[in-house]
Amino acid sequence: MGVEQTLGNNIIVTSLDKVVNWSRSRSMWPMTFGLACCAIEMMAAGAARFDLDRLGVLFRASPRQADLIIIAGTVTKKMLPVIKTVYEQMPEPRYVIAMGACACSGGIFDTYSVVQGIDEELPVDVYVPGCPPRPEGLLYGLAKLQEKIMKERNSFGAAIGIGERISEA
Amino acid sequence: MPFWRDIKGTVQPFWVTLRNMFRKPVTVQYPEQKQVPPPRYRARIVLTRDPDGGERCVACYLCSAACPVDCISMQSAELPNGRRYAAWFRINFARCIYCGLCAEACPTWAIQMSPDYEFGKYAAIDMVYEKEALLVDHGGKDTEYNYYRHAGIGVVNPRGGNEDEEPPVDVRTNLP
Repeated sequence: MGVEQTLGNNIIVTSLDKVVNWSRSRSMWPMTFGLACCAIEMMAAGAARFDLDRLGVLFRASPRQADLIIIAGTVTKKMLPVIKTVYEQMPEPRYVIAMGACACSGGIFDTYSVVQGIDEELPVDVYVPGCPPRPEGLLYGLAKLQEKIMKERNSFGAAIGIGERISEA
Repeated sequence: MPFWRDIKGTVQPFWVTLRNMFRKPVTVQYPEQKQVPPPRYRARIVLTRDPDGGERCVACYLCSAACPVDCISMQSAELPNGRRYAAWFRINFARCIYCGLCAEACPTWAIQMSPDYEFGKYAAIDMVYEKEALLVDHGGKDTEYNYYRHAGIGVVNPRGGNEDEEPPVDVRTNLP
């Protein structure tokens, strides 16, 4: 416990961190989870033309195997418990991308039944606004997330149970 | 005959697979090879400038009235010479749905949609763009248009002094 208790910052530890970060950022497996029309663009990004597989992004059908959840679409208050359950079932380290205007802020649905942005409930790493964003927009967001993962410190220490990951945006 | 039908149904998929093996791949190698969107593509909103370098926006609030998600807000102000401008101008891109209604509503070609579709932020507050971030140094889709050369009561030219205007009529001369 405690954020300060890490393995330190010497060259061996940081090199190991780099290896762990590299392997994590080059194999982000997102949860297969689409909510609304942004999911169509997410599927298009996964299909042949944009081909997420060449970035090591393979959609997994089980939250146990997923590192990343792309909140692609409108989050209604009825769907929120399901999303939270899926998120809690994902193993650490886990990342969240808010894709589309609805997931970022509620978008056009400023109503009683829609969550005004998934960041009210989940810790969002990258926001990709748009209605919906192009598949390239999602790829750009994934590249931003890769950069963010590459900057994490003490990821090796956290993997063997010493200290916690330190993430700087 | 079901026999020949089954033979055909077995061989045809192999032929489809074989044909597609020699096809050119359709994948766009995105970060290296970027698609150029069409000129009217609607992505990130910009505020353009007129050919003289001044801000085109006259803070008429038409874009914020047209916006279906109320993501545009501003405060109007006026220079001593009567020229209106936006004291602050703010677009919340987290809400924006890129419908382009603001660009259609704009009477001065100030607010326009740019084809810059790469947009991703680490924090929600970074998606709120202020006027300094929205302003660009070009005229966008119409580089020649300057609102005050065609209208605007006596701001740049004296009243009725623009080239497509007629001088104001003294109504007393029309009296019988």
